[in-house]
Amino acid sequence: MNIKKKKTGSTLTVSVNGRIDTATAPEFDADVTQNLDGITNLILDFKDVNYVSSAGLRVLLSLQKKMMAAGEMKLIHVNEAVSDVFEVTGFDEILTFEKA
Amino acid sequence: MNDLVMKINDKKDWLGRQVWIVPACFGLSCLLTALSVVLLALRGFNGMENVWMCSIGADIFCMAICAMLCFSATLNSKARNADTHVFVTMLTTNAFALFLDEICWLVQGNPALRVVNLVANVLFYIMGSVLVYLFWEYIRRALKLNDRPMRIADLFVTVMLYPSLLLSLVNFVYPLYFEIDAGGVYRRAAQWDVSQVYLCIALTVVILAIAFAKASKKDRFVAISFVAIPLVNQAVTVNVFGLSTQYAATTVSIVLIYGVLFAEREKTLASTEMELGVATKIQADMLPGTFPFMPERTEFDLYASMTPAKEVGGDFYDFFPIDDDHLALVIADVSGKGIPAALFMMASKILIKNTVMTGKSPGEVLSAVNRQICENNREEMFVTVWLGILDLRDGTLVTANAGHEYPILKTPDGDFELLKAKHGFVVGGMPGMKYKETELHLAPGSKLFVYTDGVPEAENEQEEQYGYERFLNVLNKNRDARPEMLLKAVSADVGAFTQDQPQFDDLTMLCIHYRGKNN
Repeated sequence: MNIKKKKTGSTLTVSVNGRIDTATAPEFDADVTQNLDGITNLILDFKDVNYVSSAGLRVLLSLQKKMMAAGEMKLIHVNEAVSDVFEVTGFDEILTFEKA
Repeated sequence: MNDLVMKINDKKDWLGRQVWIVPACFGLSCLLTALSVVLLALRGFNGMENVWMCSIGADIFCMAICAMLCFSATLNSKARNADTHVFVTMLTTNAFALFLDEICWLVQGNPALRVVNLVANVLFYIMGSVLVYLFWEYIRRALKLNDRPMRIADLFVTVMLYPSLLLSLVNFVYPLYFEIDAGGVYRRAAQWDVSQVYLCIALTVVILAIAFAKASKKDRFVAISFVAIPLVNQAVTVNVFGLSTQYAATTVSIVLIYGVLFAEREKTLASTEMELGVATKIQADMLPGTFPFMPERTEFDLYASMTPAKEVGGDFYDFFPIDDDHLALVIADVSGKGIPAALFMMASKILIKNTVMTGKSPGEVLSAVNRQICENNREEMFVTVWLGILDLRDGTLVTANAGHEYPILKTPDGDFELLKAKHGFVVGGMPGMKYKETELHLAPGSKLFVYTDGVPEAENEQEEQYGYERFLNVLNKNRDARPEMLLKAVSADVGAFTQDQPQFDDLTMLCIHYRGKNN
C-alpha cells in the first residue's frame, strides 16, 4: 500500500494505492489521522484501491466519525469491487461518494 | 495486546524508531572482526609476548561473539524496540573497545607507531566510560527503573560521563592516565587511578540502583552479576601488564544478558500462546456444536461449522429455538482479529440471543443490539450480522441484514443463487441505525446457505480470490447433498483453491434445509 497526500488550505486529498487490509490499515489510519489538524474537507481518492477488508472499513468508519464533527469526508473514484464491499456492509449508507 | 502497548510506548521513544541501528551495528561489528584478523596477519607474531597474544586472542573471539549477537538481533525485525537498540549499540561499542585493545597490543613496543598506540589507548579509555553508561542505560530500561531516585541516579551517571570523556581526551596532550614512551611502550602515569573514578562511581550507582529497585529478586540478582563480572575481572587483572581482559569480561556479561533476555521472551511467548489457545477453545465451545440438531423435528435439517484461522478471530454462527414454531439463525463476523475480536464476538453473540428471546423481530433485534453496543464502543469495533427467524410451520423466514454477505438460496427445483436483499449498516458502527426486514417464503425442499467473507475472499498464492463463481458452482454441483455434506464440499473446494496458502480468515458457514411441515 502507498499513500500520497496533498494539502491545499483546509482540504486534504489522500490517494491510496493497493490493498487496505489487516496488515496495512493501521498505517493508513495513522498516516491520515496525523494530518487531520485543521482539515475540514477530507477527500479519499480510491482510484487504485483494489481491496478493503473489515480492518480497512473500521478505519473509514473512524475517519468518517472524526470528519462528521470537523467538516466532511468524501470518497472518489471508488472501483466496482470496493464499492461492492461498501454496499454489502452497508457502508454506502454512511459514506459520501462522488463520481468524479 | 502486549505488542500494541509496546508499539504505543515506542512511538514516544525516538530511539525505538531508529530502525537503521540494528543493521548498522551488525555491519560494523562484522567489519571490525574481519579487520582485526587482517591486521593481526599483517603484524605477525614477531616480538610479541605470550600474555599479549592471550589478550589479542580473547579480543578477536569476543568480537566474533558480538557480531553474532548483532546478527541474531537482525533476525526478529518485528520484536525490535528501543531496548534492542540499546543492546546492539552496547554490543558494537564493546566490539569497538575490543578492537582498540587489539590495536594497542599489535603496536606495542613499536616506536614508529607511537601515535597509533596513543590514539588507540585514548579511545580505549573513552569506550570504557561509554560502555559503563550503556550498561546503566540498558539495565535501567530492562528493570524499568523510572522512579525519582532512579532518575537522579540516571542524571548523575549521564552528567558524570562528560568530564570522564574529557579527561580521557586530555591524554592526547598530557600524560594524565598513561604515556607512550619513546620505545612505543604504554606506561601508566601517576594519576592513573583517576581513570577508574567514573567507572567505580557509575558502577556503584548502578549496583545500588539495582539493589533497591522494585524488580524481582531474580532480576536484581542477574543484573548485579552482569555488573559484577567486569568489576571482579578488573580487580584481579588490574596490575598485570599485558593482560587486558576487561572487555572480554563485559562480553561475557552481555552474553549472559542475552541469554536471560531470550529466556524471558520465550516465557512470555509461551504463556501468550497458551492463553490464545484457551481463548480459541472457549470461543469454539460457545458455538452450538451438537449435530444433528433437534433430530426429532423433521421440518428441517441444519449444519454449521467454523474453521478458525490460525489466530483467534471473530466469526460466529448461532441457532436456537425461540418457541415451538420458531427457529433463530445467526451468522456474524466481527471486524479485526485476535483477543479483541473474540471478546467482542462473545458480547455480540449473547446480546443477539437474549434480544431475540424477548420476542422482537429481526430488524428490531439488530437496532436494539446496535444501540447497546454503541453505548460503550470506544475501540470502534463492529460486527456484521445476518439474522433470520424461521417459522417452521409454513417456511416464512423473516431476515434482517446488518452489513453481512448476501445469503444464498436454493428453491426446490432451482439453483443456488445469491439473494440480494436490502442491507443495513454494520452493528456497532453508528448509533441510531434502523434495519429493514425482508420476508422470504421457503418452499419445502429449499436450502438456505449463509457464510462469512472468509469463504468468497479466501486467496490463493497469486492473491486471487475464491469468489462467488467458484462458490456457487460447487454448491450447485452438490445441490442435492445434505447440509453437512454441502458444507464439507465447500470447505474442500476452498482448500483445493488456496492449496498451501495459510488460511487467513475464519471459514464459517451455516446451511438449513427446510423440508416443510408434512414431508
